[in-house]
Amino acid sequence: MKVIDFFLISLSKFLAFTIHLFHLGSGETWPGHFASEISPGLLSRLESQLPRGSILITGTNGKTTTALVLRSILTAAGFSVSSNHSGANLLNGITSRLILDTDLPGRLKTQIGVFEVDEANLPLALKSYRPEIVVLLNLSRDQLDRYGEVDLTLFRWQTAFLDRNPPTILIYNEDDSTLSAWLENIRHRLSAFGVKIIPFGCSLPTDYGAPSLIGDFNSLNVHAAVTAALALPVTPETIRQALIGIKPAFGRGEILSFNGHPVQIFLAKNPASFNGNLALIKSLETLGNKRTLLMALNDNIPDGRDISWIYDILFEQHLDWLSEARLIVSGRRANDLALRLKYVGVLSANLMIVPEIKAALNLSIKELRPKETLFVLPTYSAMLAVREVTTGQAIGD
Amino acid sequence: MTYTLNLGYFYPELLNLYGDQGNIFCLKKRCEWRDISVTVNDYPLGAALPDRSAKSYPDLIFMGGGPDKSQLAVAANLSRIGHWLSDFVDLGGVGLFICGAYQLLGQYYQDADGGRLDGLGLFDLYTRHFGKDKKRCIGNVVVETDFLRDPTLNIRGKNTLVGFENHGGRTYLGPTAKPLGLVRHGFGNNGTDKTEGVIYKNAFGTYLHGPLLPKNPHFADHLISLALKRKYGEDIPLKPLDDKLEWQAHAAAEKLR
Repeated sequence: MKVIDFFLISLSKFLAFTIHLFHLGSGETWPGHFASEISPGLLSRLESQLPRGSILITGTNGKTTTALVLRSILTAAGFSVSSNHSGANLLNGITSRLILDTDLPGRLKTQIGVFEVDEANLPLALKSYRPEIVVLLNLSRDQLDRYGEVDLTLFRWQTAFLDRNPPTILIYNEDDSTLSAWLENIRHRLSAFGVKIIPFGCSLPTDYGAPSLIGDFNSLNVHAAVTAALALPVTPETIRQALIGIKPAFGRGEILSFNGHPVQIFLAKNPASFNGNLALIKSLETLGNKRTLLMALNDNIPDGRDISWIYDILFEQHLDWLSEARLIVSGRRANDLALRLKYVGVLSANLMIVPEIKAALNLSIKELRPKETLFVLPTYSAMLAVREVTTGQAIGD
Repeated sequence: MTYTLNLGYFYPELLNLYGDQGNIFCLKKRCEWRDISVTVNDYPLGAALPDRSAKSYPDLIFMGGGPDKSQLAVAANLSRIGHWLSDFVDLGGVGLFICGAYQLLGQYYQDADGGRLDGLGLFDLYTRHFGKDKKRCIGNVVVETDFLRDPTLNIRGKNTLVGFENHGGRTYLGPTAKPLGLVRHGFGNNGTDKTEGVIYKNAFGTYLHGPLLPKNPHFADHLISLALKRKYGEDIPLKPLDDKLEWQAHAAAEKLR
């Protein structure tokens, strides 16, 4: 560590405290951004203080949940963990978290890092430091206006893995055809670097399950986290114990209460996550099998400005139960979503368009029968808005 | 009399990057709502193409955009289907070609290193990519056209097209090319001359990608009308539909920045 780092760490903590105090945000991105600008390499110097190193989790969908599961397992195993759990998954989020986890003299208090990292930022992360383990969950089309094509992401990953700091262990989902085909090409070169490659996937047997994390995509997330924990190693018994108590991450199947009704939020930010969540909601028992669904589509920067992808959601496969359901569409692009549903075959009489999210929530709640759950499918910024209305608090408050 | 139309959907497995299939959903439904019977035939890479006398010969074809790798695969296949496609378009067949497909139907595509990929040459235009240092053209677009104001297509006399573009290549129209319209907002063909897309006979090329037609019902109906006219040799009036949602989405998209 450089002398300036200790000074910067104190200043950044003060910055985070101020941001938090005045409700200017969660304080989990700007301090890290500020400190890294002034002292490049700070992230690497902080990370190298972790005695057990760090684990990076990336992929299009499931990062937050996988990080949550792994963090819970490691905490149960007695580790003190640094983790960017508010979903601030760019490098400034990781740096901020490490800064906040230092003691007064500026030394790191934690032993191990569990960080989710945006798939476009993985190369930058690997350039900054060498993680012990990298977990690759999946890769599918998401926000092309921000990330570009999947092939481009794979190309950048390849360069990063082969030229920079490959992890000691690489854990990947062998059921994701995009990932496994890509890895097949560079496997021998990675092995030559001494990288240990461990597959996971639904086709591999597992007897680990987290009861509160429902849905097929979540069993994959759990499987990924368990694979990483076993590699550390954490004992199977500890892992099983930890999994029992895990609750969903914010906005990822999380159940909140609003005006006496359960509100279950399923972040639906691209075709893959939307399809997974529709299949999951269909499988859930409901009163009289008539569901109430609020779908909220925003096109802010964190959601991606282009909403063309809603035409790749497999709504047509769900027309039977969607036709029976009460549907409310909301968000900045509510009209587009309504139009999409019209071309699926949903009758406009079964569809309410309420662009403003708070008004849409209030109206949806009125539609519910006693004890009925409201299912919400929001894009990222819409999810934050829904949570803010239902909890009265912004993320990180 | 029951009218029938054949829609040909080209390379659905390769060129569906941005919900392009939304255009097929839209054309199909808008025909069905008017009791026009529609058959959608998919033409994946390598599929046999029907000859002019075949019952399945398409009245309207659609080709979308894809990732670079898929577009290269399509380009390699173009020489095989080029003759068929030129024949189709030159005889007045109706076609919508978006993004990658639009570029491939031009004279050529020149990449940043100067390498040239020959196109079909149906459209008098070429496309250049200036390398990754030049910003991609990404964002919401509003285009003013001079062919969509027809009150039979929409009572309000709307002549705008709304959509989203995302392309690295810049397209320049040749002297004989007529643009689809002029951009009011967005980049369009190249971000400098205000033109967007191209019209050649009954073929339309555009950068407004993905599901263009649902929010632009007048354009969808224009394509359907052209296809009916060509098939039946006379103007066939289209039954008006309740397009409240369509125009609501169109109006909202006009304001997007």
